[in-house]
Amino acid sequence: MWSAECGVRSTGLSFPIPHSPFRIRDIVMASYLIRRVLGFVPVLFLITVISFGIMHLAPGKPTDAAMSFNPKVSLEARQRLEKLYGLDRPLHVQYAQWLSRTARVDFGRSFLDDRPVTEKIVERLPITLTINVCSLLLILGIAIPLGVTAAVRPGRWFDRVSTVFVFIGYSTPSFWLALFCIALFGVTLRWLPISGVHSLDYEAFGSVHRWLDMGWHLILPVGIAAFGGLAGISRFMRSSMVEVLQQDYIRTARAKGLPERRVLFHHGLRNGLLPVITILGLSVPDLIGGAVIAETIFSIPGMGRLFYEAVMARDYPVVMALVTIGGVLTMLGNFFADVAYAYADPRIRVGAAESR
Amino acid sequence: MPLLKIEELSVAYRREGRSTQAVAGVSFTIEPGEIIALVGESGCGKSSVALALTRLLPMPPAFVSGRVMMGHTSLLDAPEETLRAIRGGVISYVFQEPATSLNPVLTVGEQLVEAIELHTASRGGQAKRLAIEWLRRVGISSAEERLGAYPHEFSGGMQQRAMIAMALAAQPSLLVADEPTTALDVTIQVQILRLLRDLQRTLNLSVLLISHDLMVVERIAHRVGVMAAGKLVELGPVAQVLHQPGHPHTQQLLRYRSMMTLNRTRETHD
Amino acid sequence: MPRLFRNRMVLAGGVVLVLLAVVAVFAPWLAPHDPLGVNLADALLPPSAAYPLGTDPLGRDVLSRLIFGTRISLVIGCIAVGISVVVGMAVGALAGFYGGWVDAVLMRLVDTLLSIPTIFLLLAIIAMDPAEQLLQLGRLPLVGGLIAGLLRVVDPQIVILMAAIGLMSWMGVARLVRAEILSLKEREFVLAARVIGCSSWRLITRHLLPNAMAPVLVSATLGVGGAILLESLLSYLGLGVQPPTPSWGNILNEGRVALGVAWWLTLSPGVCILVTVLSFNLLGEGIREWLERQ
Repeated sequence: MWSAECGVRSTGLSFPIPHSPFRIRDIVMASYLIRRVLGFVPVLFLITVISFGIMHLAPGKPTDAAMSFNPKVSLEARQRLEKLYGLDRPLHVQYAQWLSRTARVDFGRSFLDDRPVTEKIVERLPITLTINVCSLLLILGIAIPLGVTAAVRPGRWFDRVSTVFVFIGYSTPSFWLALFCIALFGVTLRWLPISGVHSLDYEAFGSVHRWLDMGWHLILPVGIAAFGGLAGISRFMRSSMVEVLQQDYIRTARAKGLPERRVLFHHGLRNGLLPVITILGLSVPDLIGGAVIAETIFSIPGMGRLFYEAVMARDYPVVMALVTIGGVLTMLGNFFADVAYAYADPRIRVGAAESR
Repeated sequence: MPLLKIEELSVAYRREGRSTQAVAGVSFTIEPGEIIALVGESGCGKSSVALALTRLLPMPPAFVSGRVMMGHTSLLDAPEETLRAIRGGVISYVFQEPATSLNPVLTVGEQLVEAIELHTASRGGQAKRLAIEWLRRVGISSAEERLGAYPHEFSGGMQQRAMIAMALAAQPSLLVADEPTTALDVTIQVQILRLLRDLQRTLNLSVLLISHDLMVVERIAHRVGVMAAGKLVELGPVAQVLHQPGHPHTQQLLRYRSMMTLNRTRETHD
Repeated sequence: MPRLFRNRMVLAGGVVLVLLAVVAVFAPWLAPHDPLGVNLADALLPPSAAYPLGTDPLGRDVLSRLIFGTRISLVIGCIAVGISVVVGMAVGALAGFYGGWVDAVLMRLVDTLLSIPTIFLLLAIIAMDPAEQLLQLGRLPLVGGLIAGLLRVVDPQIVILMAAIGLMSWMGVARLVRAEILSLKEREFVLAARVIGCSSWRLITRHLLPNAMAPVLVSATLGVGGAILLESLLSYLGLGVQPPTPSWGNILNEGRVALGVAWWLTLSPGVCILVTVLSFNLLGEGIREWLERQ
C-alpha cells in the first residue's frame, strides 16, 4: 500500500522497501513500544531490590514479630524458623531466593496467619481495583468537563470559582475530609454507611440488591479516593486546553467557518486530551496510595488496608509483596498510558516527520 | 463594483490596562479578480487588517472599529452565523506557518472534506472525490493516498498546497493569504506563488496578499498598499508604487531590499 | 520585586504564612494553657471562654496544642523540603551535567522511586522503627557522640519523619533541575566559561544551578504544603509525631474516639492544616505565575 518512496521517508532508510504485508507504520510503532518495555526492566529490578531491602533494614530479625506472639518459644524453635525462612543465609542469596519465588508469583507465607501471601492479596484485589477504577472514572467525568469549561472562558466567573475550589481541594488533607464525611453523612445525618463493603444482613439480599448495597457502601470511599486527583487533573486539563486553543490550527478551523462547538471539541479537545493521557499514567501511584487511606478509614477489606495492617504488625512478606506489586502496577499503568498516547497521537503512531 | 470596501478600519489591543494601536484608520477597496498586496515591516499592522476583516481577532483583547462592507453587508456588525458562512465560503484564509496551521491529529483528507461539506452541497463519497480533485489541482501527486496522511507526513510546500486546497475548495470570492510563502524554502516559494497566480486566473479570485517581501509582491500582485505604523501610506498599481514611490517610507523600503532587481522578468499579468 | 508582592496570591499566601511563623515562634507566649497539661476533670469540654477551642480526651486545651502544633508542622515541612531540594539538586545536576551512563542510572533510580506509591514506601520505612536504629547510631565511635547529643535535643522520631518525607520528594526536584541543566548546557555562556578554564564544579554551582533555581523555588514552596499533608497523615495513623507532642495530625487521631460528639476536635486541626497548606500553595503558584511573566 505504501510505495517505495514512502519507505524512504518514514524510516530514513536509503533503499526502497518492497510491498509487504506489514505497513511501515506498524513496524515503527512496534519497535517504539518494545524499546519502552525494555526500559522498564531495570526499573522493575530496582523495585525488587528496594522491596527486599525494606525487610532487612528492620532492627532485629524479621521473625521477631512472629516470635513475639509466643514468648515461650525456645532457641531451637527460633533457629528452625530462621532456617525455614532462609534467614541464616547471606543477604544476596536470600535476595536471589526471594526474587526467583517472586517471579513465580510466590510471595511466601504471611507471618500473621501463615496463609500464602498471594492468596491474601488475590482475595482483596477486586475490591481495590473496583475502588480505583470507579474513582478514576469519577475524576475523568468531573475534571475534564471542569477543565475544558474553565479554559474556554479564562478569567471569567466559572474559571475563577473553579480555580478557588481546585486550590482548596489541593490543600485539604483527604483523611480529614474522610473524617468529616463520616461525621456528617455517617453519624449525624446517617445517610451513608461508614464502614465495610456489605451491610450486616447482606446474606439475605437478592443479587441485584447486593450490588446496590455494595455500591452504596462504596460512595464515600470512592469519593475520598478521587478527591485528590480531581483537583490536579482538572487544573492540568485547563492549562492543556488553554494552550491548545492558542494554536494556529484553531485559528484555521475558525477561519474555515466552523461552528465554535466543533472547533472546541473536534479540533481542540482531541489535542488537549493527549497530555492528560500521560498524566493519568503518572498518577497511578497516587491512586494506589489514595486507596490505602480510603480503605483504612472506611474499613474496606482491600489491598490498601491489608498493607496498613501488615505494616503495623510487621508482617514483612506481605509488605514486600505489596510494595513490589504496587511498583509493577504503576509501571503497567505507565506502559498503557504510553501505548494509548502513541496510538492517539498520529505524530508518534505514523512515525517522525519526513525531512524536507 | 468593489468586492470589499474597507473604511477607516482601526484595531487596538488592550492588555493589562495598556492600549496599543495596531491599525489606525486604514481604507481601501478590493476589486473582483485582482491580486492586491499589503506590504510593510513586521508590526505595521498588515496581519491585523487581514484577520479583522472577518472578525477572526480575539475580541477582547482586540477592539475593532470602522466599516468593512461586502455589498450591502457590514461584516463588522453582522451576526455570528452570517460571518461563519462567509468565513471559508466567501472569504478564505491561508496562513504563514502551514505546519502548525493544520490540525496534527486529523488527516489532511478529513480537514479538507470538512471544509467541503461545510460550504458546498457535496457529501460523503462525492466530497471525497472533490477533495482528491482539489489536491491534484494544487499540485499534490498521489492525491488519493495523501488523503489519509497526516500533516506531519507532508513537506512544507505540500502542507501549504493542502492549505490552499482547503481554502479554495468552497470556491470563495476572496482569498486572504497572510505571508503564505515566508516559512518556505526559496525554491518552493516560487512554486507556491505560481500556483496562487494560476489559480487566481482560473477561478477569477480576488487575493489579498500580505507580505513583507517586495519580491513576492512584484511577482504576482496587481496593486499594492504600503503600511507603516498602522497607517496606509501609499496605494496604487505595483509598477507605479515600486518604481516611482511617492511616500518616503516606500522609498526607504525599496532601498533596503537586497534581492530584487529591476531587470528581473516579472511573472505576472499582461 | 515590588511587582511580586502585588500578585494577589502571593500576598494572601505570604501574609498567612508570616502570621503562622509568628505563632510558631511565639507559641509559649501565645498559648493560654500548657499544651501538655493533662486535666482529666476537664476532658472533652466544648469551646468556652476558658478553653477557646475546647479540650481533648485528656483535658488538654486544644488551642494551645494547635499553637504548638504549628511549630511541628512548619519545622518538619521546611526541613523535609530542604532535604529534598538538596538531594534533588545534587542528583539532577549530576545527571544533567554528565549525561551518559550517570544520567541513565540516576534517572532509573528516580523512575523506580516514583513508581512506588509514596504512602507504601513511607509506611514501610516508618514502621520499621527507624528511630530505634537512629538511637543505635549513637554508639558509633566518633560521630556517635555527636549524634547521641543531637538526638537528646531533637526527638529522633521527628528527625526520621523529616528525613523520610524529604527522601520521598526529591525526585521531582531532580527531574526539574536535570531538565533545566540540559537546556542550559547548550547555551553559549557555558562554552564561554569553559574556554576561560572554569572547572566543572564551579561551572555547576556558580553558573548552571543559579539559573535553574526558579522552578525549584516553586516546587519547594508547593512541596512544603505536601510535606505538611504527609506529616499530618502519618501522625494521624499513629506513625508520625507521637503524643504527647502535639501535631495537628495526632490531635485529629485522638479526636477520633469522640467523632460525632466532639466536633471541635475534628474541625479545628483540619482547618489549620487546610489553611497552612493552602497558603503554601497560593504562594507557590503565585511565584510561578510571576516567574512566567518574566
